[in-house]
Amino acid sequence: MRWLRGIAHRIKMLSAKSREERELDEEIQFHLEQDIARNVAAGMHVVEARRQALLRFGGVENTKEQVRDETGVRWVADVIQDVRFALRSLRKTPVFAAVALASLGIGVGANTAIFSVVNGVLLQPLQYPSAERIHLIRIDNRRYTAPLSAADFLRWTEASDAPVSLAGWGTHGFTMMTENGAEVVNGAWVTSGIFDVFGVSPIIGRSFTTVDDLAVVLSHRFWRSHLGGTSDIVGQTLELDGQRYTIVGVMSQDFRLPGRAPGGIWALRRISEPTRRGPFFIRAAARLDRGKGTERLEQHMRMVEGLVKERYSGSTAEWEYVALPLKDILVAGARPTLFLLLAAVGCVLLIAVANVTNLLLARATVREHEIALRSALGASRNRLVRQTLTESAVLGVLGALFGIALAWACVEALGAAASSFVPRMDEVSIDGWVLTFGLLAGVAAALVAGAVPALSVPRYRLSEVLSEGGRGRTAGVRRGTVRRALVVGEFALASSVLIVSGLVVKSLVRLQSADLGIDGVGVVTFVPSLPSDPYSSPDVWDSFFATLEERLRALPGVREVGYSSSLPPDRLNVTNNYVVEGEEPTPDGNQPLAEWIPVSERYFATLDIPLLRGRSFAHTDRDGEPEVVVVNEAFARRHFPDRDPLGGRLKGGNLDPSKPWMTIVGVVGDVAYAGGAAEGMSPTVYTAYRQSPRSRTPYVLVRATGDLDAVMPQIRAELTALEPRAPILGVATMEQLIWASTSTERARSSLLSVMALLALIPAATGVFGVLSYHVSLRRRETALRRALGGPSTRLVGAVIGEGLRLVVIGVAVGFAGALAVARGLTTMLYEVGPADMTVYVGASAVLFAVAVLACLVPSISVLRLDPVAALREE
Amino acid sequence: MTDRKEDLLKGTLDLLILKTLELEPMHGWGIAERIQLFSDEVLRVPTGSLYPALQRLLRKGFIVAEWRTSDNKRRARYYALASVGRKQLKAETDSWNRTSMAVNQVLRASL
Repeated sequence: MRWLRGIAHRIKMLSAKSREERELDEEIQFHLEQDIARNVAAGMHVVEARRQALLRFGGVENTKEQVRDETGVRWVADVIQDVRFALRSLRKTPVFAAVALASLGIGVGANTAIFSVVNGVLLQPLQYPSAERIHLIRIDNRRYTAPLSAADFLRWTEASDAPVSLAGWGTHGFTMMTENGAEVVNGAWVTSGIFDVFGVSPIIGRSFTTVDDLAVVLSHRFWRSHLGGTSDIVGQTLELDGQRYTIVGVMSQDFRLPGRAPGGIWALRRISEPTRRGPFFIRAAARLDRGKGTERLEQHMRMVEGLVKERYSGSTAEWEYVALPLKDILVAGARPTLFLLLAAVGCVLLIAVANVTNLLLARATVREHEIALRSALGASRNRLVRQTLTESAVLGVLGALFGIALAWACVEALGAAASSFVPRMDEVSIDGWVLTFGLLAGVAAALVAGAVPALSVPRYRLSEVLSEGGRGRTAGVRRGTVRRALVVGEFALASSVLIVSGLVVKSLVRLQSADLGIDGVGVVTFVPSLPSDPYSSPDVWDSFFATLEERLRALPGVREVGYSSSLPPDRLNVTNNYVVEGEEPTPDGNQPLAEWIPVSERYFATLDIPLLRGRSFAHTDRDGEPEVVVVNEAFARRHFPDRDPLGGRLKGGNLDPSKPWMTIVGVVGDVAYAGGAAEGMSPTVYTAYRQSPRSRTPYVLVRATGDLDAVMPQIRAELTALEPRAPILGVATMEQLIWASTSTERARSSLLSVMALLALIPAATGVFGVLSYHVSLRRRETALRRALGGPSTRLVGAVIGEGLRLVVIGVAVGFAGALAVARGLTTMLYEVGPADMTVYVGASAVLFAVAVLACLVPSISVLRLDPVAALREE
Repeated sequence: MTDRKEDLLKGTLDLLILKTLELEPMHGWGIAERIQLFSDEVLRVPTGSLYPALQRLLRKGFIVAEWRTSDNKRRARYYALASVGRKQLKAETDSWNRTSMAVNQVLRASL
């Protein structure tokens, strides 16, 4: 209570400062009058009485000062005074203020912007209630993790005493029939427990129940755009993929399933018992029951594994379930890049700090005279140090505000750049945490920068400083060393950032020019979304595609038409396990995996994939005929390193004696399907589409000469004429797909390049500042030399040499640092070593060019120096 | 007035002010006068310490201040003891008594 009263009193004192002063005057006046009155009463003359009273009282001003000290607001008043003084002196030195604020602003702004992303993505919890209890359940097959199969899903849900509730989903484009024709609605099929697992319920209607059959829940967006947002939609129906679904609910505006695509609708799907363990297509999430630990989940997973193996013997023994915390998996891809960016902006801030320290040191030297005078006039060293630190804090707050404003302006552009590799970008904003971070970063940076000059406020011996003609040589030399060290540090940091970003940029260049195994120029691709009735019949499908192929080929300019179920460079749909004849696995052994892609006869020709041996598929490779496959080089290398792969035989899936062998009839060049060039080439098995499951959303590829934009309307017209119920999705040229496949790397590169630029500018300013100071300190010496006829070039050379000496040391240190960092970055580098010569040489060239530019101005001032004037100065 | 006046022992000024105000609310000049009077002119309160001490006691909440009209119709700031101050006075008085007794005991000591 007492301290509270103390604070209240102080506040009252501060706000009532002037009234208080008046009252104090009045009180003292009263005191004196009382004394005088008493003295007069004792018989003194009134003049003498006043004199005696004043004598008795002592120093009036002194007493007032002591009373003011006792009000407890002295330091606040001091701080206010210091802040005013700081603002005034900043105004008086606009160049210093501008450079310091720009450095701090850029440093804080970059950090705040990146932190806003880190905060939104890595630090804030997911939007789902109790999201920490949600895990994704996947199968770990030792090479990567795969979704669940129907067999897995059913065992999970039927196991009693489960510590979790489980639900599955898969993204799906539904073909919806409306009065205006067919339309594709992106959404997902889901199992009935999906909304319980994510802990949300519809805002209108209800979730799915176990007795629902053809039921659908709508997103808020879809409800608004397609049904006018009316509340009586529950019970209405939608025709999706040829079946009538009953609407049972509408979700709130912010609900979405994990992943990129915003879902429009979620339709219920029943999972039925399959005939084999695969395929693996169910993305599954489990919510751990309250109070159950992950050990319990582990136990359960081992138990379900047992159930699956019991029922589907021969399924791969070493495959295990893994429970991945939802948040970790969502942000896993972004984490390394974000950390790299954080490190880069950290360097930018450190450089800014070094730069501001440099500026403050230079200013401290200039102000040495003033400070000496103030200390001579009675300012304590503490008071002077406090004053210096207050100035830094003011600088920090202003810099932070500037930086936050910058971050605010950039966060949208940053979002656009980062959304290609950062999930949850829509949850990123500048909130209280980010603001606090920005302010703290700014003030901390400025205080660190201010600490060095503040602590170098010397205990003056007045005579020494004043007699030196106002130029503190001893302190000057000491500060000179600190400032040189700071420049070295700045260049070390800047060159590290520059090199790392150079390596990443070079990776991007390599990646973008990497050979994907295809010639994508002149190829356009699209997906006709075929209704299940009648296209689930293979015969109907085959004749549809044969007609489409024929009609498209007849179009002017069209040279080839092909079909595939996967698309380079990163649209791989199916990976399958298989057995090669003669390499049968032991019952418990692991099966090899390959990309498994049904294609049409002309697919290889359409993408210009070279046929290296044997033949491509033929019209005669259809159901009922002997099954054939074409493999890629990587496959041939894996299984037929020293013999002819043609005629070799294999089976998809497990070694099932009832299934026929498939014969290898051709070998084609490697094509990247999994993740562009960065993921490299994997073994691929192509099957004939007439001998494979037909996709109702096949990729159709058309190679045409001339303008692809002109061909596309004709293609649309042909397709609509052939099947009006099949909307066209995903129209893109191969070049666009290839460009898009490197968007993550591109975003990373451009962000890092910006950081490198942000690091270079203050570093250059730093070397400029130090050299200017160096030159000004040696005016006399230079003037003398000039007067004695020293050649100008040598004098200029000496200045540049002094600057470059610092830069060389800095860059050398930076190279070592960059090398260490780059060794940890190999996953982000593509065909670029951590010690790539061209990058290091290029970075040095840039750094020295910048350094020489920064050195030129101060060295030219040596030439401009008028020896006579300079010598007369002192 | 030329007699030698004893300077106040550090820390005792607060105690004396509180004690004076316990009798009745008083202004600064009156407090100084009374302390001098009660101590038979031995203790003299330097004004340079009195007003800062009053400010200190105000801040601690031991006393409260109020502007009133004095006996000779002048406006003066009167200080009065607050209830916290009353407790403080009691505590400090006890502590003073203990200390002075102990000091006296030491001074009277003989072998």
